[in-house]
Amino acid sequence: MLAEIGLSSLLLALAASVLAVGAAVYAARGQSVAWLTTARNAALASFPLLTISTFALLAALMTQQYHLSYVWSVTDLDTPDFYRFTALWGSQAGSLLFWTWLMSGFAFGAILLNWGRYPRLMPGVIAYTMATVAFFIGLSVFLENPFERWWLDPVTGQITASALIPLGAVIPPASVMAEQSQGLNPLLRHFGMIIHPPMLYLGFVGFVIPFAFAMAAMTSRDLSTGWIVATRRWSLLAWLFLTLGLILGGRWAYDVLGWGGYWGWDPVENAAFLPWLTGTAFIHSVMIQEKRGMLKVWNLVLIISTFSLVLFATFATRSGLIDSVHSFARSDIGLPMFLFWAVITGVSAFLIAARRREGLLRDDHGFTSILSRETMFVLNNVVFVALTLAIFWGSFGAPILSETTTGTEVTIGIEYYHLVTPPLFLLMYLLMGIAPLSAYGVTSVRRLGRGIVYPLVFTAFVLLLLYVTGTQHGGALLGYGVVFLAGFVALWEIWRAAEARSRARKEPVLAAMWALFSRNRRRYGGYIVHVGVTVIGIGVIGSTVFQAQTERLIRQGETLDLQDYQLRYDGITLGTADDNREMVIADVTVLRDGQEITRLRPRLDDFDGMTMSIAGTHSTLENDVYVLLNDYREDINAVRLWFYINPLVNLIWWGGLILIAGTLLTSWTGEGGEKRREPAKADPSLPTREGVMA
Amino acid sequence: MTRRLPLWVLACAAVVMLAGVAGAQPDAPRVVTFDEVNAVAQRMYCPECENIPLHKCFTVVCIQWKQEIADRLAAGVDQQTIIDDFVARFGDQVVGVPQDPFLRTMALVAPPLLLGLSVAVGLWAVLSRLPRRAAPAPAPAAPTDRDSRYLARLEEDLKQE
Repeated sequence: MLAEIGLSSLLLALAASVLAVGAAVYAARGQSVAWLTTARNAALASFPLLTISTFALLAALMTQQYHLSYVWSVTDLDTPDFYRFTALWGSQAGSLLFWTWLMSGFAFGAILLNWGRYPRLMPGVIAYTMATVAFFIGLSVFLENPFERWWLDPVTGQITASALIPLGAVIPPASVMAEQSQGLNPLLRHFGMIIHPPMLYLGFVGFVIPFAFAMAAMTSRDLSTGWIVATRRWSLLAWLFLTLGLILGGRWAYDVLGWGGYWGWDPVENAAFLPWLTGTAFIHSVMIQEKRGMLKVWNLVLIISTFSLVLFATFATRSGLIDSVHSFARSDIGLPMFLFWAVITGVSAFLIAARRREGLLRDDHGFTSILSRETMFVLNNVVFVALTLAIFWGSFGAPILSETTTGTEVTIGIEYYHLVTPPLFLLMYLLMGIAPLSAYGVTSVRRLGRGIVYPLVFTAFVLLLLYVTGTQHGGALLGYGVVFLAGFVALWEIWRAAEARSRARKEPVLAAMWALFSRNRRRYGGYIVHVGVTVIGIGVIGSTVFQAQTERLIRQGETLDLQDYQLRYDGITLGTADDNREMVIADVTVLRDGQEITRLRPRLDDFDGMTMSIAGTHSTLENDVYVLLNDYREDINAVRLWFYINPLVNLIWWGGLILIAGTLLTSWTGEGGEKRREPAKADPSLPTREGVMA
Repeated sequence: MTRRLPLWVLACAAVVMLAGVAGAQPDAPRVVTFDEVNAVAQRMYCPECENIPLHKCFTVVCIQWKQEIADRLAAGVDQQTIIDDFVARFGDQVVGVPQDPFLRTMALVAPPLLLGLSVAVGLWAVLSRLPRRAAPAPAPAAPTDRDSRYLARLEEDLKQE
């Protein structure tokens, strides 16, 4: 029954979204209020229909409906309820449905909240969002249907999966299907999996809204700042979710993959990072258009590139183009996804070129100074784009070009990224430090110099302290210098403004700071984000440059030394978990300068031949003591341990939290937040709010 | 002494022979640590699992490769020769950056070119839109004390936002 409910709602959602696209296009061409209302209603209907479909699949997972091939493939009798829930996005078909549901949710919210405020843009917004939703529903219906069921041919005894009942087929016995069910991929059996994929998906699908508004603005030729104002919070929301998804993904890799690190420069990780880079460039650059009417073409290029990279990442992860621990199995959806990506990107590029030729994308102002904030933002954008291109080149460009032109398969690995990206990240931090000190319009060298003196002094002091306390790695000191400077500039700008206000108005500094934050959350939230990025940068440099590791086979009672830490192997515990995985757990004691500081239990989990090494970790702000069990030799009662010291790695997670707080502050609504702007002036020839609502 | 001479000769000959025998014995195999193997393996990639560094991979083939690296290190072969040999046998996908000169150049030269191009485009975009004459400096703020000047400038900035 759940399969029937799920499938029929999915089909109805497909029909609704196709109707929405058709009606929106017709409404735009015929300027018909009635058709636009139809388009809106159809678009809004697709979300509840997809909600029914998604919850039908979730209910099937929770109630163990093994006659559904998806439920059979991602759960088994031993799967705990927690992982039954996360199994919704544990494999291709379920995750596609989940993805589409989230996207339709964003579309639902954007259409509902902006309806009537941007009447000229609405037909385009509905058409582009619902065309994307319809495409993904189509993939779910025709190629990756999560409601396919197992059917038994009584004549041949063969069992096949199909959404529709094959002629003469019967449902196979439930007990047989339950016994043969496969269970969730062991890599996905981690607490983080309940939150990491949804966050990443929300980040990805969220960019459909600014993309659709941008396309609608170009289609309707309403290229005022309306689309920018309408999408500012949507862009920030999508960026926030994508950031969260990336940070949580790093944490999952750190805990589960047993690599000793959080980022492996794997092509699928990189594919998710690329839209983050262009998205970050966009949320900076868009401010220039909003305030000065500049960079109009550039902002369109950035938001379209971001959504195009989202589609590309989805294609790369789901098509089998890349084999990775993060990707789904090879599937038939590769070609249609590639074509969709190519069409969307091609149409967008064509529209930008056409509107530029028509002169609709001329900037209102020119650059007035090489040191102005506009110039700094352009340079910051250049760095983000260069990073995007370099990472794209390493992940996809060079390997694909090499294979297609010379027939040679190549791997572009960590060495490449460690060589190419650090200078670009340093430039990014440098500009992050300088840009807040510059003003819109004209900035003098004197003003910049005055603003940067104290942050420079603080940075020099920290560097000196680091040097004296033993950090003498040149590259690390350079990195720390640039990163600390960016952080100190952000803190100094907050402090300087609060102190000045406090003196001038004779109010306490904290009250002055509160008033400043309340008055301009966007500016000061942005500074908090910069502080978060600084803390992340310090963590990345520390854990990358100063990571220490060693691997050895030690017998019971022996110790393994690394820096001033010792690891003593005390014994082994063998056991079977509730979900039937065999566990080998090493009991180890961590000592520092001979003093016991903690006991860890790194373990090997064996899921029917697939082995995972789960780290034992002792975390402090200073470092992580991270221990992996690589092997257990029963004959001599010895373990092979991989012992890591990861300095400052926890700052990455703490920096992530600061960054989230800053982003929330930036996008907070209400008094003191973004000033409410007048909506774009409506074209009298097009339906107005009153007209539509009438 | 003359009577003992043959004994001395025999003793010396025995010492020389023993030394010769000892010298002809091969060196005892050097013990190679996991860390030495990892130093080579972390520059290589699993031939089966795409994009997984060799030292992090525990498939059968990777375990065999790591054993081969250990054997060759024990035999005194240097790290680069071992890697070059793997590349010669299994192709450029076993290392993080291709060894083939053309592919290596292609992989590594493109990013600086892209950066240069991006910077050039960015600078062109800014410089081509700059006025030929320097824009007049904004009028100096009326307040004279330091805090008031700063606040006035901040107000100006906030007005822009």
